Amino acid sequence: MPVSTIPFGPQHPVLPEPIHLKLTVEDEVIKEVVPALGYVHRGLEKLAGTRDFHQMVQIVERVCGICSMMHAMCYCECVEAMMGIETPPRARYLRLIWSELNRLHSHLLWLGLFADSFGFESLFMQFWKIREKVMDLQEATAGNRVIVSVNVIGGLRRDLSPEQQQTILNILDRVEDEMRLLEKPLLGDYTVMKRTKGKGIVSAARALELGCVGPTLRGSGVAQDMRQLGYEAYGDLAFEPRVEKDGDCYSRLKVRYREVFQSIDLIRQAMEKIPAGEIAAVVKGRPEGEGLARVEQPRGEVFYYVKADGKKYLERIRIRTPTFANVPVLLAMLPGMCLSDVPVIVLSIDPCISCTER
Amino acid sequence: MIDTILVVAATLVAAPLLGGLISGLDRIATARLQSRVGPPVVQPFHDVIKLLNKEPVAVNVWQVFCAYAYLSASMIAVVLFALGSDLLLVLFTQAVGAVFLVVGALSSTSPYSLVGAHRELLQTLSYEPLLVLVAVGIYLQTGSFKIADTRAWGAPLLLKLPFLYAALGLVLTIKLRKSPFDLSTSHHGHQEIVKGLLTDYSGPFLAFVEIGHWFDVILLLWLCSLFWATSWTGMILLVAVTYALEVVTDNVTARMNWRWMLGYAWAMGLTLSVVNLIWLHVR
Repeated sequence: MPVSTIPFGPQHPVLPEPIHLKLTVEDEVIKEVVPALGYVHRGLEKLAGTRDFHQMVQIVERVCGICSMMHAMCYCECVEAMMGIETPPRARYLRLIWSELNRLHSHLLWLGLFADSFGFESLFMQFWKIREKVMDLQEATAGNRVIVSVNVIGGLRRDLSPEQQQTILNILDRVEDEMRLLEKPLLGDYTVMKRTKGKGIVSAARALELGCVGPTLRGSGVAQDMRQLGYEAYGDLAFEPRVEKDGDCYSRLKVRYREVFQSIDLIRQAMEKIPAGEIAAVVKGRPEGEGLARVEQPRGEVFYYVKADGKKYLERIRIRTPTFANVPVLLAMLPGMCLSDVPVIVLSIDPCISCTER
Repeated sequence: MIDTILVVAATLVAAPLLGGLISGLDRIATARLQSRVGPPVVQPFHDVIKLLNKEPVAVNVWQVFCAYAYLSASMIAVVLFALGSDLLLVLFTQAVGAVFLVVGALSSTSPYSLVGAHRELLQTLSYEPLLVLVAVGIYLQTGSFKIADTRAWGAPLLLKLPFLYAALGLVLTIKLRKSPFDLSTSHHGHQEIVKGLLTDYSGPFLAFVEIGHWFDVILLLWLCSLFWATSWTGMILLVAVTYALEVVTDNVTARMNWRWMLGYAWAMGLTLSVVNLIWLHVR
């Protein structure tokens, strides 16, 4: 087949969200990739000038539905640091628990979508079936399935009763059991390995050079995880970043699969150690100056910058999301790959366009 | 003469009905394997009737011609099979239909259709030699290419041609558009070339292609049934087990690429076929 241009997106059945990759292809081998973004830009950062800093919690939750909890938490941490507010210890543990539930359902969503990207529909259905349990947990504990909306400046608006905590532990036991059953069909299947091993390889040095973050970076052998900074209650718990060395789609798959169990383990540890007490601190005054915060989202590091002058409205919010950081490395992965590998490689960075375009 | 007309009429009515029913059962079985309930068994008929009632829109006149040509070739192949005609003639007639499907996709300017058409050609390249070898195997065993003679053969062919039947299973996976070989187009369009070969087909013309596919399914399953033509129970059981294996294979494998397909179909399929043919010859 001669050199031809094939559009991948912006509307494409493989893509959960709109991104356009203009692929130059020769004999189904990718020669060049030109990305185009901006199809779902909503100008959420601009709303900082028209919503007060408390209302901005609900705005940043809507930057992305899948990791809404962590957007809100990162923003709250940033403003709390600027205002010198110390959140109660119980709130720090509760934030961790809901964050890890968010990571769990995000990774399970991705595992399903990734299986779908290489045409393994039954595996896709099984992961999404397991994910429903986590979604039900979020609804049972926060009232919402996707955007849990539990964060406020100073802490949380909801607590977890002992019964709810036990329910979470019971259901996570079942999630863990069902995930173990899927290990062989996912990681040991010949066709899955054939479609993912050696595809979209990026070395550790190249990944760092291109500013790669999250499981994509850890799949290249770099043990970088923002949770190790010890924000919220992460400093009290024992965990190590999940790292794979090969830097291909299979490595990124293994990292996320293993992080599901890590999240379950972190929730169990947090449940054991969670102290009694208040869930929110009293908030007085308004933020002033500049603040920075970063947390580890399911897709990697999210970075918040807030600037305020002591008024009701913030001067500026700037959000750098993990997919924005991972797009350059995606473009480096694609040339030389087959056309049939494009969905697999694109999905391997777990792109969140809603986050990226805000 | 009247008998022939009756056979032709019965085949033209029964084949799409049976093909649609098999498609409906396939969707339910697939859904159950994926922990879903699935659609009603008659859903494929609802889909096709809905498509037939849509406004005809085509990219160009070639596409329309190719849709009709594909459907006609598939119908003729099944009718010839029902009449007990020459097996090679039947296989080449269905191959003509497959080529028209490719020509229809190539007449479009959509890159998805073009890539799908090229992949369909490679799929044809993978399975056609195997189909011809199956026919040769049947000839070596029965001494005739006539389907009527094969039906009248006294013993189940499967016992003499087990490896050729396995090669036919490979062909079936490709022709039924099941994983790992759903490359040129797939049932859901969740792949890099969307619906590939069929991306630009819509409305009644897509319905014709779907009905043509039902005829193809019936043709291939009927061919499978020849391997146990000594009893109705044996025929039905063999076809049911074969189709069930196809559905399971579809649900336990990822989609591969055309390079792997070509290598695998030729290496595995040709080896199985040649081993069986040598065994027949030596015996």
